[in-house]
Amino acid sequence: MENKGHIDVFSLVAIGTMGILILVAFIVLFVLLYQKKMMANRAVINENESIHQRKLLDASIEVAEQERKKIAANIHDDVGMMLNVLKLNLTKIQRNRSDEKLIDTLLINSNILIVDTIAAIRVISNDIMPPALVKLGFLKGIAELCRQVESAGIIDIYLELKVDSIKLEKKNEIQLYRLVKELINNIIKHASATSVELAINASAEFMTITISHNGKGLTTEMMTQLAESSDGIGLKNVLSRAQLTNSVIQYIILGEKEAKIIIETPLIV
Amino acid sequence: MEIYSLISYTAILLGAITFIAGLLCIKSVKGYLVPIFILASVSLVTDVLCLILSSNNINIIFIYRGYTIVEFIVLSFFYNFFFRKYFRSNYFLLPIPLFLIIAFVDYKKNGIMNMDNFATSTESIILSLYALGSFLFVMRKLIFNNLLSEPFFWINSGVLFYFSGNLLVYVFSNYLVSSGLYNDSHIWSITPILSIFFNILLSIGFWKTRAI
Repeated sequence: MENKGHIDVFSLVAIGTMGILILVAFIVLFVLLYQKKMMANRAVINENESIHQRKLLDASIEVAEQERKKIAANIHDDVGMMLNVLKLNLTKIQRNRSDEKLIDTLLINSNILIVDTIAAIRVISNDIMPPALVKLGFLKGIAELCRQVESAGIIDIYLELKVDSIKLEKKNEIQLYRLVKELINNIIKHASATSVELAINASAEFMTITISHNGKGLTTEMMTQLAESSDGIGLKNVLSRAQLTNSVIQYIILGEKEAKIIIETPLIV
Repeated sequence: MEIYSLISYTAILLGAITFIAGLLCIKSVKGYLVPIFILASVSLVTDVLCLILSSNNINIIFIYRGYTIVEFIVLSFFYNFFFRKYFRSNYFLLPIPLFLIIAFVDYKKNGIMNMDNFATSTESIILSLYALGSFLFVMRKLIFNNLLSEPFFWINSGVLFYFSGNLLVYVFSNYLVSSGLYNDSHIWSITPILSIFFNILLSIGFWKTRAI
């Protein structure tokens, strides 16, 4: 009877050990196969991410190229033309020193041209680096942008600043400014909106910019799909700037003529 | 020659091979591999000492009692060193005092010349859990690109096989000795067989350091 008990314990230990070892072998095999599968998935994700990054980089290069072309065209067409006319005026004055009436007319004309040239240079300079943004910071820069859009008379724009100051990294200020500008441009060009409301709020760690408008909206999925298409350079640019500033951007459709874009950006803590 | 003795001698030979593999790769034995090299060295010395003493009919269990404590401490440091760069791995050292208490209680209960089944069972459970937890961590965090080329994978697999495989033998060791099955059955061959397997995996682990 006792001997039978010993044999049972022996069987228990032998079979149990065998069972444990088989289980351990399966665990090790599972770890190996799981790791292999996950690494393959990671490689695919990395590849997709790299393609996405390349597309964003291409888009930002293209946008920068377009901006350069625009600046070059503005300098050539506006400033260059006005300076040429000014030069012609000066040549005329030089050749007709005796004709005081003509000289007076040409001087008045030249004076107007110089004022216009200064204004044109200011516009170009503002386009390259907005002085309000550089001197007074992000909130004032956005306020100035809204004032310029409002004064252009294309769309009604309302700004609501729920904070007095925010701590943003300097390099992020210009990126976010251009991001907001691009979004307002997109709303003007594509959404058929007549009114835009821009609200800026901040918590201890994040700044939230909410752009609401009464035009046709997009969802985040639609925006991503459009950005993936070859035409979506502006949207790629938006994504690229959002990524550069570690911002999260959400597109929300609230109704047929009611939509919202929310940008959430980390602040310096 | 009895089959048990043959397996035991093979296990000792494999222990020596593991030690030699560690020596050959000594330049790349750094960080978490240092405790494993210490373990391989202590294991070889213990096995040779036990071989000499047992051939002179001296009870060698007291040597294994000491070895169990060293083995647990060294393997705890192995996990501690490995996980140091991922999180506060000092948690791996916390069970050491508890284990020493269990080893002391075991000594008081079973005596120095009997099998330390409390200590070895506790050691097996804790180290098997460490090994399983390590695999879980490796799977979740995907810290390695190619698992098969990592020494840690081979060593951790060895720990898991050896200690989980020995668990039931350790738990029932004193019962088996007292029931007289000690001499009759081949159940004790499980430990040297697993030791052979453990040493093979450790040797592969050392060898893989050459590629790092």
